[in-house]
Formats: sequence, C-alpha cells, structure tokens
Amino acid sequence: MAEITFFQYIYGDTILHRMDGRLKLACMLLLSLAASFATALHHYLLAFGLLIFALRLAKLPWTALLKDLRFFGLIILLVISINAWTIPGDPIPTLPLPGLSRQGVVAGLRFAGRLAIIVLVCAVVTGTTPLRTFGQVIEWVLRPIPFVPAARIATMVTLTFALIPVLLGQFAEMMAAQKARGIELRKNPVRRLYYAVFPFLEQMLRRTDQIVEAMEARGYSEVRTRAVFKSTKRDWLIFLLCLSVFLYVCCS
Amino acid sequence: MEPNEFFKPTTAPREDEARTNLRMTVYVALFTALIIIGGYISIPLPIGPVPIVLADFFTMVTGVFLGYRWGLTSVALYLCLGILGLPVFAGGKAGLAVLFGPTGGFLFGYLFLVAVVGFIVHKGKPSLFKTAMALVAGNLLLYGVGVTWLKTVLKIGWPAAVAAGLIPFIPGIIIKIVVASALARTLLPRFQQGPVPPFRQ
Repeated sequence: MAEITFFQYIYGDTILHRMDGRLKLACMLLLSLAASFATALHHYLLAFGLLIFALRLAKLPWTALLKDLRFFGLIILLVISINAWTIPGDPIPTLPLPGLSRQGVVAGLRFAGRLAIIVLVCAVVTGTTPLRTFGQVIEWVLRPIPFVPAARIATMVTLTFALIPVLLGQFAEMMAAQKARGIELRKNPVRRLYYAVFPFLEQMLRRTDQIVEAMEARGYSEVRTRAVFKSTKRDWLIFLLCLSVFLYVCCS
Repeated sequence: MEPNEFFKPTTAPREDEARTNLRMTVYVALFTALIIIGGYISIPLPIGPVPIVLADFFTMVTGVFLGYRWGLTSVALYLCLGILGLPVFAGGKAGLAVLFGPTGGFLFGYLFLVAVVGFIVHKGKPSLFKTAMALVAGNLLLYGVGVTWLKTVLKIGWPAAVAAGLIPFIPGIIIKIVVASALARTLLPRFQQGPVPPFRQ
C-alpha cells in the first residue's frame, strides 16, 4: 500500500486541473453525499458515467489507479459476500448456493457501489488538486468563522495528507525489518500489536520533530499571504452539473 | 509612527508560544493520519454492521499523547475530513450519511474517548494505573454512546444492540487497552520531554 498513487496529485494541465479549488471541493462534497443517498440502479449508473467522464477529462493514469483500487476491491468483495450470506431472504434460482440470499446480494452490491463512487471521487479530486490548494480552500472556508485559527487548521490538513504516504512507507519498512530479523511470528496478540506499534510510533515521533525543525528552519509562520481564487464560467458549469446530479439522486 | 511598526505582523504570538503551537500542529496532523490509517486496518464482522478497527486504538493513543485539547482537535479534524467526502472512515467510507448512520455513534464517541483519556492522563502525576483507568473509562463512554446510537438508529432492542456493538469487541478492547497503557509508559515520558532545544546564535 505504500506506493499508492491514489491520494497523490498527478501533474497535468486539463480543465479539472485548472478548476477553482473551492468549487472542486464543493463538487466532491455533493457527489459523496449523492453516493450515500443513491438507491436505484440508474443513480449508480449516472454517478459512474459522470466519474468516468471526469477521469477521461483529467487524463489520470488509468492503469495505475486500477492497480491501487485492488485494495478497495478486496474490501468490496468481502462486504458483498458477508452481506450476501448474512441478510435473510429468498434464494437466487440460477445460483443455488446454500445460505445465499437475493436481498443480501443486492444490499452488498449497493454498498459496494457507494464505496466505489466515494473512492473514485476522491481519486479524481486528489489527483487533480495539489495539497497546497486543499489547505488554501480550507483556510478560505474557515476565515470568516471567529475564534478559529484558519491558517493552523489548513496546515494540519495539508500535513495530514502529506503524512499518510510517509506513515504507510514507514510501517512497511518496519515490518520488513522485523521480518528480516525473524520476529514477525508472535502468537500473543498483545505482544503482536505492541511490537508492531511501538517502533512505528517511536520512529514517527522522531520524524515529526524533524518536520517541526524543518518548518522552523524555513521560517514557517501562520501569518502569511492569503490565496487568491479565480473561478471561470466553465468551473461553474461543472459545479452545476454535479449539483444537478446530487439533486436528481436525492429527489428521485 | 516608528518605521518598524508598519511591518510588524499584528497577530504574531510570542516565539515560545509559536514554537509549541507549531509542534502540536504537526503532532495533531500525525495523529489524525494515524487514525485514518487505523480505519483502513479494519475487519468486517459477519454478525453486525460494526467492524473491528484500529482507529479506536489510535484514538486512545492520541488522547494519551496529546491531552484533551489537542486530542479533540485531532479527532474533530478526522471527522471533518470524512464529512468533506474523503474516504477516511472504517473501510473507506465517507460523508455525512455515515456519521448519522448506524455506526455514527462510535465516530462521535471518539470525541468523548479522546477527551476523557486526554483529561485524566494529563492531570496530576502520571501512573500506569491511572492511564489504564482512563482508557477503561474512555472506552465505557465510547461504547455507551455507540451502542445507544446503534439501538436508536436500527430500532432494535438492548440485547441485539449489545450483541452487535459490544460483545464481539471485548477481547479486542482489552488487548488495545493493555497495549496503549504500555505505550504510554514507555513513550510518553520521551514525548513530554519536548524536542531538542532550538539552535540559537
């Protein structure tokens, strides 16, 4: 999972890359809400159609994204099969497996569709938006709210995203190091968790202090120039498209 | 008007304060990222909608290390990222619907967990017993809120809610509490010592 390209910005110069960050995040919010309200088949087809169009528009690398989706595919398969076998209902005549119910399969597929939409929306948005923009948009949203340190929260969000791949890489490295020393086989679950988390946290705490020092050395300050956003007609069109999909899914 | 007055930033805090704030800012980001990763290491259970996750373990660790103020910030940030539509909740879920769905009580319960653990651990002298008790109290609150929520949303009776939302996790909770207490004992003193002092000319 360490090489996941999925939450990472991929450089490009397309309509979606140039889109106003505020509207892009609003679209993400709307689409993920729409995903949780979707019930009928045509809702899912609509959302998937829109997302495939967005993926083509953004010219993101298909193969790399699909490779990363394997992880989510595993979760989706697990969820479908658990739902299929635990929700009581009528058996499927063409697929006579013991315990399998039609209602269960439908519920599982619905859940899987929702998950896939959310993951794809996230892939499109994070693939076309640099981390800086994320932070700036969040600062822009929080700025008018009193007593909220907008700049600090924006820094926190940016750092969180930056840290996720670092953490995954560190964890994989540590597990490999333990395996190389032959200490991965612990039966006792307490020791197992402890020996996985202790060195990992220790490393990460040290690393975090280094990040703090690096930020100080580069003169980090919460008092800084504010970002200026510009939105074009095309951005508003994309936003309206997402809004209409959201309203359609919620109202029908 | 003095010439320098014009260039002086109006809201810049004192240097020490700014330093502590920056350090805690980065730590909040670190622990939020840990909670997010913990949500991905989740195992769905065949008997109910609540999966076993490591997110609550990292929430406990957040409370132990950051205290209640910064810990609450960290968990609130996690919830906000989920609301925004990023797949950060257990198993890649996101959105307001999850927060108000059957398992939403556990997500809100994280706020209580981190607040209680952070408050008790950072009050008075540190001891292993106190940390363990703080974790037990926090988990009682977490599962109290979570199970009540599950019961209300799914409209099921208490026995069914407890069977789906509490009983399968008891062994996991005990393991997590033991490990979190052990981590607090070994790592917390080092963490509280603070970073290496800054280089001054």
